[in-house]
Amino acid sequence: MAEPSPQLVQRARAGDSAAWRQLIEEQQAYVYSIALGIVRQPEDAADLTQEAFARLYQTIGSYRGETRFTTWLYRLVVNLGLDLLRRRGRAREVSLEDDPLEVPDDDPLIDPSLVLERRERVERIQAALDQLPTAQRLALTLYYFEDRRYEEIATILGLPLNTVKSHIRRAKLTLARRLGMPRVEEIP
Amino acid sequence: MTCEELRRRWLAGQLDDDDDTWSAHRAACRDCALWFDSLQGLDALIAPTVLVPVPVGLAARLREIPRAGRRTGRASSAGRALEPIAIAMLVLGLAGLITAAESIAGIASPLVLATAQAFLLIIDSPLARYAGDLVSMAVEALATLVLIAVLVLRGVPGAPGDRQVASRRS
Repeated sequence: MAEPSPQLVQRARAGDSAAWRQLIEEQQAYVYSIALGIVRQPEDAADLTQEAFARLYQTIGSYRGETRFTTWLYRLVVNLGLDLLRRRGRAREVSLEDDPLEVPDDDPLIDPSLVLERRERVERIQAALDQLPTAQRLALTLYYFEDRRYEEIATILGLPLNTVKSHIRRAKLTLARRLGMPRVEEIP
Repeated sequence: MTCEELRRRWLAGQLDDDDDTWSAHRAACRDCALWFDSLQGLDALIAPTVLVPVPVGLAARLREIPRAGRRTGRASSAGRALEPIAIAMLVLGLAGLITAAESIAGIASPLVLATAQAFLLIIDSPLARYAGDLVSMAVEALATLVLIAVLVLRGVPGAPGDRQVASRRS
């Protein structure tokens, strides 16, 4: 579940160590995925994720509950990431020599050929995602997070609602074409 | 509206998935229905891939954040506890400085005044006037003596000045 309970957030605000551990464990993959969507490089994404949680630790007291906690947290990650890109001038190109994606096997007894097939499919999709413009990739990443609505994505990215919808739909169209899906021709 | 116009408007975010016009068009147009369903079908394919597991090293680094934060927090809370004491000490120090300055001014101002008055009294006293007259008389006497000495030396033959002049002339 992506959204932590209000009680968990409240305990974390009060400095409860166990609550912090739980919050970090629940959110780290989401934060890392957003970070990866912005900076592209796994090492940079790891640094950005660490910076985001450190900032969260310092600023959680200012969370007033006006939005969902994750909307507030992901907005913090996006802002930190965009600041980082601005400091660097612009986003660096995604290297073709990136570390292969680690895909955990759900069942150790599963057929190895199926695992390999799944891993290849995931890597193919991941490669297609990597080629999307940053805004489209970010919007799509957030779109596929649990229960994420267009309005919340717009809040997180600081973009107009229609722009967010457009980013997501164009991203899907591009991915469909790159993945060789039938009946998806280019719209001029 | 044509298929292309509707698709473009949907892609631009101007139409929702359940927009009446767009829904009615898809119900009537097999191409657009398949096109839309293909894109919607991507969800099942892509959704599991967007959530990337964190590298093992990162998870360990993240676990350290609350611990490091607590250390910093303890240091800063200790600093915050000392703040009132530091402010109180600063206020006391300033108060002391002001008092000292006032005391110095209280002692120094009559002293300076008295010195100035004494100086004026000395300058303006009969003794001072007498001393001044005495000095001016001495200066005048000295000047008279020097003048007489010069005249005497020039008027006496064989005086060193004349001898030198005489030898140069010859």
